[in-house]
Amino acid sequence: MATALRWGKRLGGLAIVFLGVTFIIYLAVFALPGDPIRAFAGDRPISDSVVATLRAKYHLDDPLWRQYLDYLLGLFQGDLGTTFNGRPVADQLAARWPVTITLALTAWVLEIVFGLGLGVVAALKRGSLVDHGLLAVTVLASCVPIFVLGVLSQQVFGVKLGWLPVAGVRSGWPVSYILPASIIAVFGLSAVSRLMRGAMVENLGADYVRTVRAQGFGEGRIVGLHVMRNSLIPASTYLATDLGYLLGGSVIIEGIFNLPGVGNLLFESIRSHEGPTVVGIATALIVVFLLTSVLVDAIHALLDPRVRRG
Amino acid sequence: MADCLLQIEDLDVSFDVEGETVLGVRGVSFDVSAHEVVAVVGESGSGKTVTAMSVLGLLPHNAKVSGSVHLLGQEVGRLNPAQLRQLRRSSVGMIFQDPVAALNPVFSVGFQLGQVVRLHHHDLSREQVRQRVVELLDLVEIDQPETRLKNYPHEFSGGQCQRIVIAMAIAGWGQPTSGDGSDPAEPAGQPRLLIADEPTTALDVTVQAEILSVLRRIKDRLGASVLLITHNMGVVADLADRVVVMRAGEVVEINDCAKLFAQPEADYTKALLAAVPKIGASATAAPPALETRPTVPIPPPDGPDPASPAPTDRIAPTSPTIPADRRTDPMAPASPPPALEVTDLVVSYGRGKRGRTEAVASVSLSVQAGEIVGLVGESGSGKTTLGRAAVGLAPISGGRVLIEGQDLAGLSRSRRQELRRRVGVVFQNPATSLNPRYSVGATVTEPLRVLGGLAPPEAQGRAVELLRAVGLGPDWLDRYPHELSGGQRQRVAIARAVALDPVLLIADEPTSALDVSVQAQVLDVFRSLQARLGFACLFISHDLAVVDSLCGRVAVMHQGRLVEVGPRQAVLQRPRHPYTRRLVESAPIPDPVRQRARRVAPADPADRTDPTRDHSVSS
Repeated sequence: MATALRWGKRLGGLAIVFLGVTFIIYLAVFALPGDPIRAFAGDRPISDSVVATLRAKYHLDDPLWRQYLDYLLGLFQGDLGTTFNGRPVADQLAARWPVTITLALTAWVLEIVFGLGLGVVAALKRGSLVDHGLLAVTVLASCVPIFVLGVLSQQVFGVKLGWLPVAGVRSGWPVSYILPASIIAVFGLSAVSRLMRGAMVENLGADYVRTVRAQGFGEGRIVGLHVMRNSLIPASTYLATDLGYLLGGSVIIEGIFNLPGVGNLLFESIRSHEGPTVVGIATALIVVFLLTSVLVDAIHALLDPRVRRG
Repeated sequence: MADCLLQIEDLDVSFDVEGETVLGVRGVSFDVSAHEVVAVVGESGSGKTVTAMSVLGLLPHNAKVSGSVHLLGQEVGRLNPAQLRQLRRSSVGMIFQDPVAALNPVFSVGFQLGQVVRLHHHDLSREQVRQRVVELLDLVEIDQPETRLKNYPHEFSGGQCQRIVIAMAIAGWGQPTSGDGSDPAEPAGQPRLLIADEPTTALDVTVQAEILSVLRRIKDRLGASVLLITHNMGVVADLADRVVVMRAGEVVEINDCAKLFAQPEADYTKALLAAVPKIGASATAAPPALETRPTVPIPPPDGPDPASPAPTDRIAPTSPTIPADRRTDPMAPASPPPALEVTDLVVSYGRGKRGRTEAVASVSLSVQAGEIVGLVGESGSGKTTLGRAAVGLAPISGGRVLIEGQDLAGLSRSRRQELRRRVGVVFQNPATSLNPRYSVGATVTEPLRVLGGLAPPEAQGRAVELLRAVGLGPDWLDRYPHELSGGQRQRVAIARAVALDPVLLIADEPTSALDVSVQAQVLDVFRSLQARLGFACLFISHDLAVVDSLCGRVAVMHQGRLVEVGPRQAVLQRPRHPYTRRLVESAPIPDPVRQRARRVAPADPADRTDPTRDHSVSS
């Protein structure tokens, strides 16, 4: 009962956040300079009467709050809106999202495996050359701008060595996704490994570790079960939040590797003043993000009984 | 020789800290025989914990060990990791100082106990393991063990956690088939050793008494020896057969418990015993000036003592009448208002019906000018909150707090600030209540300059006086808190608190974090300072003996309420309220003969169901 109430409150909070954030995005997009109808027409001359018809069709002359309200109503009926081309935004998203999801999950798994793995190694060998080396490499890697890393890896692995495709998704998973996913993963990975290392070191010195050691348990069980479960709490919180970011698509990486994902779509839409598409994508991303924040709480409660209280 | 469980011979331990060698212990030798309780006592840094850790090979990696530790027929230093684990799994158990931290927070208590049971008996079924765990919890007297299995450590109180840690330590000892845990589970043939490192230090005194009785029962029922590490002479007197006194890494005396207390041999032991505050000890000795309620402080010692900060009006220019007030005759018709008067005070935290808790529930208490009132109680009793409310650091939900007759709440901001500067505060932990980036000089001169309005050179001069008054010379001005010992830090904190010549000092467990000998010194400083400056003081402490040695009146708090107030001797010698009685009875007397006599007295059987007993913090 208390748990249900707690999650009910949580979801209610999410609804408020959702309304606020979508409104801000709506406001921001429609406050952009330039007239969407003119942008849609491009260089062709367009008569005032056509402009007026189009403006009426898209309710562009209504006050902003009215437009937003219409939009929300549509949203609750599962309608993310239509682009100026007359295609539903939902269809566009459905066509692009699988690419982004594949990319995100690949990168995410790499972050989990290597981030946690390197963190554990660094913690167990703390103070050693390995520990310092890992620190240097991860910090260095996350300091290089992402596009430098992207273009560089394209050059090396795609052009020079020819091991992996330079761009596009024609070769399918995993080949096409290895390079872009690895580059995205490098950034999350350094954070995850530092978090994991810190938590492990702290827990290795904790009193309860001394207790189980005094009882004669082996190091494998001490580290693998007792220390690990406690240390996963901060890293898993970060990882779940990061999944939200990743599912939003990476504009830069999708651009460099020419992956037709959500990031790419968002970029194109902003450039062509496709207000409905931008707002539609943003709304979908907000939902994903809010859901991952619920996921964070759930994982946290799963790992740590102390936060389970109602 | 045959019944010697543990033999330590010429043990040297040093630590390699960033290339430097730090001494742990040197030349330690003693042994523990079957069924014997050997206490290792000493102050912090004496090496007693290092000694305990070396018994099970639990020292950190940077430790260098030489000499020999012979445990259950094996030489600990020569064992490889696998053999060492085997030894730890055998009939040796260890319990620790902080019981809550000693349990893994993310696993249920049943799981943690079960894994230890399984470690010793691989062939048990799930159900058998569960049964054994229930038996163990029952043995350490956890109520309703079946239902509490599923709970996590944070759902138990500190005392219950310590019981669980004890259960874990002895989980491998008995035979799981022996049925009810009340049997002596095995013939006495098997040697068993329980190492207890400050097992009750983190616990309240009534809980401490319970844990000590659990330990005693386990020792008797399971035929175990106990190596007890402690700094508390009362605990030693209660439990030990033999005592090893350590100082600065070396053993200074090994003696029979009774003999040690009656005729200590080493000078250090004598000093240590003398420093231990005892309830009733000050009944004959010179009592604090305020025994029978006169509020005249002892005037400053003869002549213009340079160390004496007597010319108080110099630093309180805004209130020149105050010192004069305090030195008038209290019997005069216009007697000054009490320094602190708390009426029907309620402090509550949280919101809503369920979340709201009253930390202080309708408490009325007054502290007369120049009087020291002791406020005692266990953790969670609300004593600290009451102290905080008196300085305006806690939200007052009801009632009034008057300082020198003025209500903090009714005043304007500037008047309130002015009133507040007449109240000094000393907190429990001087390591965290001093700003680590401020030198001693900066710490003490800050209130003088900022609140007292003194020019820097004057403030400096006054700071030197204050430091002298607390026993530190002017050369301490430039040192930083991390360069000071705990006692020195607390002296600085006291100097800072009295810098503005407060009317009232709130001292919240000012000596609880200190070793007994240091505590004795700090209390001396405190006493002489109070006699000179004549401030009123609310002295918050859990230690009845300290309160007894210092205070004129004593107030006892329990679960947010004031259960008893009265003159020191009445409250501590003839307590009226049952809780006060239990509090007084729980504190072990640092005298084995008297303590044994007290223990033999039949315990009230209703005690086990007393709702005020060590109870779970949450459900």
